[in-house]
Amino acid sequence: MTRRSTLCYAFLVVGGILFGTVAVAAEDEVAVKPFYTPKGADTCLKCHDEDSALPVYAISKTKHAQPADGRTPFAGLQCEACHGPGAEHAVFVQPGEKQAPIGTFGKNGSMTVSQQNQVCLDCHRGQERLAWQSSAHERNGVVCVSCHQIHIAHDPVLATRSQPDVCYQCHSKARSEFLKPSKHPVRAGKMACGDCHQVHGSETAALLKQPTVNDTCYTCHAEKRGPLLWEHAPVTEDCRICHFAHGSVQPTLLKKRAPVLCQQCHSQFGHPSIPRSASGLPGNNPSVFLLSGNCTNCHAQVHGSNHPSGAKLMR
Amino acid sequence: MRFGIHISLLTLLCATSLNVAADNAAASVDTSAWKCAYCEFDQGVTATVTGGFGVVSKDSFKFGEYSGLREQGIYVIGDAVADYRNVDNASYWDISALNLGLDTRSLDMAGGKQGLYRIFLSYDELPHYISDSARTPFRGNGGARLTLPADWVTAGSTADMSALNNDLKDVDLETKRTRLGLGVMVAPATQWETSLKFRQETSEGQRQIAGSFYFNAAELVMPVEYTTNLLDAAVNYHGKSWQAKLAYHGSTFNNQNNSLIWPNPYTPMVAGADQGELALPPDNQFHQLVAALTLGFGDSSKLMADVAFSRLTQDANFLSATRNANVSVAGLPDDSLQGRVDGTNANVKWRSELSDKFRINAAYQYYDRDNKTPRRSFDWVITDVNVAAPRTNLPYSYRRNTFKLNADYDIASSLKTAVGYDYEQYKRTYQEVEQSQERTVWASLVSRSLDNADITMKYAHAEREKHGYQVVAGIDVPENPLLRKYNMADRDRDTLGLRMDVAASAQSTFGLAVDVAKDDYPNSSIGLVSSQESHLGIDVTTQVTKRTSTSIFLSHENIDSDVAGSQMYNVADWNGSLDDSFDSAGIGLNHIVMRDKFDVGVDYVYTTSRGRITYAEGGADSQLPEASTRLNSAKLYGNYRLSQALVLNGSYWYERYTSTDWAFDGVSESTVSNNLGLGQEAPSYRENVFLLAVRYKL
Repeated sequence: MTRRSTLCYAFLVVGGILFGTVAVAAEDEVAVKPFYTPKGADTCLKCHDEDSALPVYAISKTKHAQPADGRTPFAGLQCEACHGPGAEHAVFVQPGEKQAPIGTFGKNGSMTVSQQNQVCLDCHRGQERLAWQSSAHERNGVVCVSCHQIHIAHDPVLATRSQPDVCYQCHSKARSEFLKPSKHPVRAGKMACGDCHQVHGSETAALLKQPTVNDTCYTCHAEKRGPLLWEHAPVTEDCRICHFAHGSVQPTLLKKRAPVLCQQCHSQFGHPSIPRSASGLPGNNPSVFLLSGNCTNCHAQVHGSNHPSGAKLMR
Repeated sequence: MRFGIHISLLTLLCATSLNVAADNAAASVDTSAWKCAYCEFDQGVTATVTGGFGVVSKDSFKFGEYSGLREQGIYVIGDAVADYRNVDNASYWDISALNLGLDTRSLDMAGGKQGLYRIFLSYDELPHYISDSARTPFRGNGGARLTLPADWVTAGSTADMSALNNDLKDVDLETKRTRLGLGVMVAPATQWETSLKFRQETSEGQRQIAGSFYFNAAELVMPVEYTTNLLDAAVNYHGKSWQAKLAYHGSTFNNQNNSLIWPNPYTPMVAGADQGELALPPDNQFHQLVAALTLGFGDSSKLMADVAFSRLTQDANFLSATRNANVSVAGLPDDSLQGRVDGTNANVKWRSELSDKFRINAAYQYYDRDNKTPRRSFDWVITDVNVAAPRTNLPYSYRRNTFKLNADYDIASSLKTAVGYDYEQYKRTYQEVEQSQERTVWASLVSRSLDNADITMKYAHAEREKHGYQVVAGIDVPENPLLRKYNMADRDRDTLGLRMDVAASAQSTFGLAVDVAKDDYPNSSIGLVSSQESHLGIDVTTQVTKRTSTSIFLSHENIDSDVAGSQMYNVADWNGSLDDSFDSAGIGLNHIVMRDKFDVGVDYVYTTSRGRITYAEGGADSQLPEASTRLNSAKLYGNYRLSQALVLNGSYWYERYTSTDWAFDGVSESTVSNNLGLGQEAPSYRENVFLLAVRYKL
């Protein structure tokens, strides 16, 4: 063993011991808390019963309250696993005196946004929350409890029927869109925002679940996926070029009324773009270019065609 | 006292880091007296069953569009929810069966051992009732081959189809999705989780399509018999400083019908053009691998990256170029497309907290749609009438590169700002613009300066530039060279968003949202020239009394756009202005008459939409009739507890919907001489629905 390697080993051993000592000391420092409540949740529930301003009894019916699952708060420090040591807070005070604070959540909680979210992320940091940091919701100061209700048996945001109302609290425009004549079945309770959106963070536009807008649409509309012999270029790129995603005053979620929708991009030689005015209505000279399906009366395959003679999307 | 304050502050600080040290803390804190005696854990089975009936007053597809309440009559109401919990070993199962008496029924079952594994099974039905006013002379609707009655008389125009009125029959346009899902999630270790999910979705029914022989069109009914299978498998790791995910997503699509054949109801223009064939969506497959990684560098920096590789293939056999035996056309270059699209998606994001007040975010996004479908020349036939000049297919590819750099700065704890710069570049093949880029600058401000009010503002300005614009070679007949397709054209975009949330009191909140987006296409003389979208939303919630609560919303949305066109294949000679608006309002009121005994409420929604199109041509304006809808919907409900276990639910739902649509109003099957239509009408209905049910808790 050379002198240099001996020194290296010595350095590592001494360093390791020092680091370990410091780490253990630090752990001990954090671990030994003299101010936890004497009876855990029983201390808290004594006051926070169903008649209190902040009732929490129902938490015992949630997945967080599962003592046999070692990951959950109730397998450990119960309420204080999230709210922090509560002995000081639990001290009885005389009327008029202020209760000592404890870590509380929500818009007016005692902890900052990042502190609140960190409590949750310490356990829930995997899977769809991989991209939470710097996501639109995180950057806008959304805390987990802005959407989730922790102390009730059934969190509304986790159910298809009730989830949209939670999202509408901030996204009121979406509620309006789902009331439009043409829409996805959200109001009917058959779709939820989370069916398309990854609300905990995504790199796709509008926090979508799939890597692209079209991939998200194709999860339910796989027949539009192709690839086809004669593709309609915008279809392959982004469904939103022609469609709104939530709802529209036009049929089939279209952004504009055809034939004008089509005339925005098509004005061909021999098939020029003609203003299809009231002269094409019944009583005048009813026009195949204006009535019923107008452009799609002939060019029915607007999403593309796999027919050898479908170059004009007519077969 | 000072010690007390320190303890309190320490308490708050500890709350944030407590979970990190929870195991250690839990191990060292004496919890022997923590009996959780007041905890009301569910143990064993709990179940709630709801049964009753509903009465719908009239038939209406529009009313039952997604709800299943489409026919006049009596419906069975049936819901059942059951749970099992075992607090001793964390095993559980949940069953939820909803809408059992309706076409929207669903069943969700899940069970397992919390923290170890979870198995689930789901079943869901989703109808889509599209139209109940269509009529057609064709027979065999819903199948792959349509026929005309034996007495059908072809003619050059619909007005001369003498047997039409006698041969018309009602046909409903509707589809139904049925979704079956099952899966398992296993957590082999605390920080690991694996999952395998399978979903099969079938869609069956019939929808509208159209077929034509040159300018003689017919609206047809196409069959829908789709099956989509989806498989998802994932492995997740979530450690303290890094988390990772590896996933596979596969999807196969199968269509039972590869084409729709229909007889030509018109007198054929040329011999043999007496039937046509439309291609229906072909079978396809999609496979994708996804890997994601998040790395933490201390508490202040984080790196997030993910990559996805996908392959989409389609190789269904081609149909023949024509069904007209009298047309001589060269053979197909191959039996099938051999279509293949490879996708690559990659994202890298870096976030760094330079101080408590200053954070920067940088992101790079890459997406490539590489269409590897072979290009071949096809001799083809125009609508089974005559041979056209050969065309070569254009397998579209595109690549998108996006860079984002932004910074958040907290001027004060109640005043936060952010600024950002985004750059997005598109490269496309076989399209008018090979390359375009868009630059966006934005700024936002969040103020919580007032105790009871949050104000958020965001403004963004974007400019998109294209490199050249040329008519696509190979598309015959070419587009007007002055046309600029709006998804590629030069564009200036300004967007402004404002949101204000005010907690007027402990019992009342007020929300205001304003969104404005304005697009200008400065170099587009033909095509979309400009558009503007605006939205105003107001929300108010009030706890009027301890027993009465209300919520109110109002919303107004407007979408205006201007389009220029040329009917002479030259410079613009007409303009079209589109003005779409939508208003909605709603009020909800709930009153507890007797606590834990009796509550009543009402939900009312009103919406109205208007669509106007005005053409300006040669100094004169011409306006199409307004297309409009109006909805009035009111629900009254009450819940009365008969006993601890039994609750009586009753409700009355009134809904009135009217619509006008110039595309359908007064348009019968033969109104248009060269379009044999389905004669659909813009929907209107007035519905009364009564529901009565009892909910019993076992």
